[in-house]
Amino acid sequence: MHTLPRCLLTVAFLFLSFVGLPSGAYSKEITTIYFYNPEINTTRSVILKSTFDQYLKEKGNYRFQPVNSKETFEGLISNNHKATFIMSSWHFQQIEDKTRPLVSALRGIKNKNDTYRKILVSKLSSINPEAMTIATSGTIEYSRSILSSIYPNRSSESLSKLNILIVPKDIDALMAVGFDLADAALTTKLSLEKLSTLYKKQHQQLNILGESLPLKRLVVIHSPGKIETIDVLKQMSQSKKGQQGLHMLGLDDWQGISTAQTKDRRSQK
Amino acid sequence: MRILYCLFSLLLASCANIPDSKMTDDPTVNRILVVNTNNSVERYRIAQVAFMETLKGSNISTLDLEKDNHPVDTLQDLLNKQSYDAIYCIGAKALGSIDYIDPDTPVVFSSVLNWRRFSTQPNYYGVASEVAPGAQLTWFKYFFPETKKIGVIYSEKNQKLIHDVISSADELSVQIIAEEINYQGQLASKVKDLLPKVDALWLISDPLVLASTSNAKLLFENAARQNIPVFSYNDFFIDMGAVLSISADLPTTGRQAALIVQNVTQNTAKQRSMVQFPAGSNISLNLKKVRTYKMKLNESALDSVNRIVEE
Repeated sequence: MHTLPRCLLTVAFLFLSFVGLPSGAYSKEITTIYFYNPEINTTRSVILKSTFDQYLKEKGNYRFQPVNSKETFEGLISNNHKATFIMSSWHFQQIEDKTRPLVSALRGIKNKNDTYRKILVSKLSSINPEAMTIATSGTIEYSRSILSSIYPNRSSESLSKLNILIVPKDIDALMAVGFDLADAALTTKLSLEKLSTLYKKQHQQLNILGESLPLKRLVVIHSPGKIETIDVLKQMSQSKKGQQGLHMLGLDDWQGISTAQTKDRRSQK
Repeated sequence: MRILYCLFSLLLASCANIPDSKMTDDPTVNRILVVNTNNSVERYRIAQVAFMETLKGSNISTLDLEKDNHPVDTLQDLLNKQSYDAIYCIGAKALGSIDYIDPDTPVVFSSVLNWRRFSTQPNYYGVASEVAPGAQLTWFKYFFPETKKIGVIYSEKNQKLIHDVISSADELSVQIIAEEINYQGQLASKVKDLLPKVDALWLISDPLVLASTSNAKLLFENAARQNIPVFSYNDFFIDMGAVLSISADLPTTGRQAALIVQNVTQNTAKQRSMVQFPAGSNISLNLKKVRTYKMKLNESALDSVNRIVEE
């Protein structure tokens, strides 16, 4: 009695699989937007996911999935052709030539600017790699890479002697210096400005020891031809929930990257 | 069958006391012992994982005291058999047991509520369980810039802390209005006096003020009645109605402990104070309460939040 309907269902499923479903049925497939950023700590994955999913569920069958591991994320980029990826431009530059063809469609902007600089801030007046702890919200690999760009004349061996303390947020890194928990903070100018409006005295004690070259903000990439998700992300700044998601990523909006810009950048390499 | 069961139980019990060890005999590599109060408790496990990740490649053995009813004996046996360059204790049971033995080895600790007891003990280093009060105030002001007067109730044990906070609050353009209590019976009248004078009530970790759940309830009920938002030092209070909580980020605490161990054993860098405040924050925000109290929230602070409570 119970097996007959199941058999029928199985036959129907197989039939539909071979014959093909109407396009409307296919559109119910969920598109995933994966996120990984070595520039920030990943302890906020849960809230990032819930904030983005609240916005995305109003837009259709999309979901947001933060990824904690670089290797897993790179594996997803290589193998998942239907997904969209939000990632660090620094990370994308590292893998761009090694992976399948991808389109960089959007770049994050904050205060109308698509770049930012990392700065090294301390109460001390110079860096001493032998005896310094640097607080940073990025991964160790990313932070060492930024430190090398701030100090191009110092060997990577000398910089590897620095103690790196990973903290969840840029402002934590600054406060770690302010409250004598670390000797220096690798942070952004924007975070330093935020602290200065709050805590004038602490800000006055801090020196900028060095500054990185301009770094591009987050980038959205996808397989060629897949644009629906890009439109959904582009509209984020137009709704309260979308704005909340952007703020979580430290952005105000997304701006389109033209094919010409991408080609220019490739030819400059 | 019963005999077999008993033998199996005995075997399990004896295994529970064997440290998980990956020690090498190389004398140039520091030997570190991690003693965990209960590795099945998430907050202890997270600290241990972050600690081990930071000191990856070091000579570390771990001991879980979860099912150990005689932790002092276990530790004493272990320390008699093997010498260590540093011991990292996670939680009060681990630290209390080591403290009883009082070894010559440097002891580093975290996740201990009464950490102040160990803050001046020679050879003891650690990470406090709450974010520095000044840092908590900075976050409060960052999220709610219009907050000008913050009330706090404290007892004798926190006198110095309140004194320090009052001076750092000036720099943030915040006024701290503090009321001291000497016994629990004073709490109800002090909170009634305090609330009309302040924009927010700040809960600090105080053994007398928060001696019981009923004390916490009394504070929350009075604050709600007078439309006064509550800021706190632990995520637990968000579910009781706090608007914002700034607690310690547990992985950062484990990483800080690892750096302290590194500094103590290698003597390569200056040792900061014996007990450090946590460098990482874990922030919870109750948006429902923000709307209830019609508070002006700095929207750009949202990129710092770990947990949001909505409707």
